[in-house]
Amino acid sequence: MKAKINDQTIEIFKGAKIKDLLRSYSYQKYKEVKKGTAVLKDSGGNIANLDGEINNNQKYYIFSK
Amino acid sequence: MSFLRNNKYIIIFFTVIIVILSLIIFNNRLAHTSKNKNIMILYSNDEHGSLNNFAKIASLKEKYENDDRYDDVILVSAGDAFSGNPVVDQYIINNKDLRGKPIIDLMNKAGYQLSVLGNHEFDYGQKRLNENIEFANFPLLLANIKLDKDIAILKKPPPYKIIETKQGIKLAFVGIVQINNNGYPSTLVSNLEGLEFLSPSKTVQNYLYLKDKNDAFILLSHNGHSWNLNLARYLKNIDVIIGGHSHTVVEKAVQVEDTLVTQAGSNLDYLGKIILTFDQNNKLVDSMGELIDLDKIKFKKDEIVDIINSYQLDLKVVLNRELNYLNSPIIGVNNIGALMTDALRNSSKIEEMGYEIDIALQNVGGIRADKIYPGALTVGDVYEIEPFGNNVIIYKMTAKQIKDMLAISYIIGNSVDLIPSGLNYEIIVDLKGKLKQIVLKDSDNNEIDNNKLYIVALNQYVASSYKFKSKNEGENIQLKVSDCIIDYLENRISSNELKNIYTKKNLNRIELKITKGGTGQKVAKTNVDISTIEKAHASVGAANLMADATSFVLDVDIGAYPSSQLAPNIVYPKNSPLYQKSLDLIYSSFAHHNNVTTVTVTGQNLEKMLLEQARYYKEGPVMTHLSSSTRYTVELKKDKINDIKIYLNGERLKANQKYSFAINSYVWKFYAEAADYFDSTVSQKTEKEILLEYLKEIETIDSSILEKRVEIINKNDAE
Repeated sequence: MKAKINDQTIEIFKGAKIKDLLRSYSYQKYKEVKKGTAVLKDSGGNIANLDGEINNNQKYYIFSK
Repeated sequence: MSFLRNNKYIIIFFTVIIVILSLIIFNNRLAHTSKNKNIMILYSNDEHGSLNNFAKIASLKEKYENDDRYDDVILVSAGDAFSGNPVVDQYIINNKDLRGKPIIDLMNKAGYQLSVLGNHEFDYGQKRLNENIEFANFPLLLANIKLDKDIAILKKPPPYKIIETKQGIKLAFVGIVQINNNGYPSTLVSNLEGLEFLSPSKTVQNYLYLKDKNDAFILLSHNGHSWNLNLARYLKNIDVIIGGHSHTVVEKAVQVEDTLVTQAGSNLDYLGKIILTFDQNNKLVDSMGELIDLDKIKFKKDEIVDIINSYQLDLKVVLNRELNYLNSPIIGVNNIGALMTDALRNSSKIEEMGYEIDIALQNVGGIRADKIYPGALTVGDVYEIEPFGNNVIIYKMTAKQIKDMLAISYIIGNSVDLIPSGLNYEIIVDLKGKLKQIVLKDSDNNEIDNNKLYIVALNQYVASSYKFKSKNEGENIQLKVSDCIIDYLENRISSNELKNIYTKKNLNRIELKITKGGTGQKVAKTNVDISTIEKAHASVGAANLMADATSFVLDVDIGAYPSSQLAPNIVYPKNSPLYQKSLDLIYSSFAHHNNVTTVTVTGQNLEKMLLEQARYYKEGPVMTHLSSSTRYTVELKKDKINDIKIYLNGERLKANQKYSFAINSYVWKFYAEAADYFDSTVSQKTEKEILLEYLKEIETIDSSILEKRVEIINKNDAE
């Protein structure tokens, strides 16, 4: 399946969670989000928790706190 | 300024008017007038076994029920109460399978009135789901499901529920769960026999007639937030969608056309609050929703706190459930990793799903224990080894793709990383550690053809963090690695097999071979093999060399190097040049740039220090290798290290005589715990610099490093 972080398309296994997508995008960014120094939001500006499941073609954006 | 002064009273007058109007408008949204009726819906979703905040939720519900502004308060969940906490997922007490019970019990006590079956509600199987549904004091809805009565064990869940409030307002709640491309929700497909899952959107359409007969249509949708937003754009007549699955924190519910769409994160970090206002004709005239951050709520219902505490106490019982018995310890990440990967390859749960795993790989960093102690092997041991809750991801890969993955993981980490089951492999590097080749071998030690296709199981972390290619996109089979290990230990392997396979000292499925090649400025040459094999059980050349260097450069009576700091199973080939980088292949501690600590210690205390270290197991006992002219004997009695005697120039160390002793500064603090010592100094030079200085002095390493300086005397036979 495919999803986007910061407009970059990432291909990932079926049934991936948000943390999988983020780790695949950048392990550094994953650590920042986990630590709380950055936050991942969906295209509606809602915070997306790391254990949430993703849908195909979903878009996320990383924001530094 | 003169304008303000001159019009002071006019400004005050208008300010007061604005404040009064704001208060009226704000209150109108909530005001309980004789005409309007306010219904509050409290909601959570994706609780995933989080127990702690139910006492706060119960207390909040009570508070709002006593608030005159609300005619009724309804508490609901949008699914996935299970999966994520061992006290819920492994709740097997006195051999009775009660998985899921703690959370249903707390939902009962907190006053939940409705839920939808989320995908993870199926995780424990249909029989257990029936029992949980029966135990719940509230209905668990699901509309997009069809049962084959001859096959399915699950009793048909109700598709909807009409709740009539005290004021006679009728709310129709419908429940739906997400489905994937394979037609099933995200859970173990083997748990879904006899169940057919229907299109969630078409199902909602089929139930929209309920809107005509009731005052509001509320969807409990265990679909992600973006799916719910799309549904709201596409279908009219849905008043509220309370969502789950994507764990989205929707702080203020979103109004899409006529539909209010919301979701409350996950793990009970938040409780959602929706207020629906109906007019005198029971027509919905206003709706709003927001989240309550449960961290900020201080009041808790005491009786629920007591129940939560009793479940937390049960955690100990849950974790102590015996799965198998171990006669000797399983030591080191190689052995534990082999157990973990064999568990994936032999999992009955994976077999039930129709997969036959050829190869499983586990990253060293994901193995969080370096020893499993003898005795009963428990659920707690498994959670200690794999505490991350990783799922199993299955790929199709060629041997070439596996090789490339292993190569990249070695190059990135500059160390052996992925522990296999189903194959062995060699990492062939040159004298400077540069990767030359990866060779895959089957169980008969034959090299594997590059084009051979394998079904490969990886954990979720490796699947998402490592760089590799595969023949398909991979699939999360919604089964936890920890559940596979539990199943393997409990059902698939005997205590004897466990001992015979995993307690072996040399269970090593990966070999790092150093071969000739590499260029640069050499620092010395070696006429003999420099080995670390059996580093914790005998004298090894690599450690003797470093101990000699320490003694020589720091001018101490006894130089030392601990076996725990050597790389495992290395043979640096004889008649080869040594480069600076070659040393990093042999000595793991060099990566940490440790210095060396020199102390003065009595003979008696030094023997005590070495004895305590030898009794400490990690990858084996920590054998302290000593410099030339020193020998020591390790006495074993009943397979335990009983005594150590150190000899310098042929004479045992005198108990009260002082000796100078030097060892790696990092490990010294552990030695220092065992006995007293006198003055200590830390070298300016690192260990590596000390060895380089020594090598510059001797130029060639000869057979003196092959001396047998440690003798193990087994007194078992003598008795």
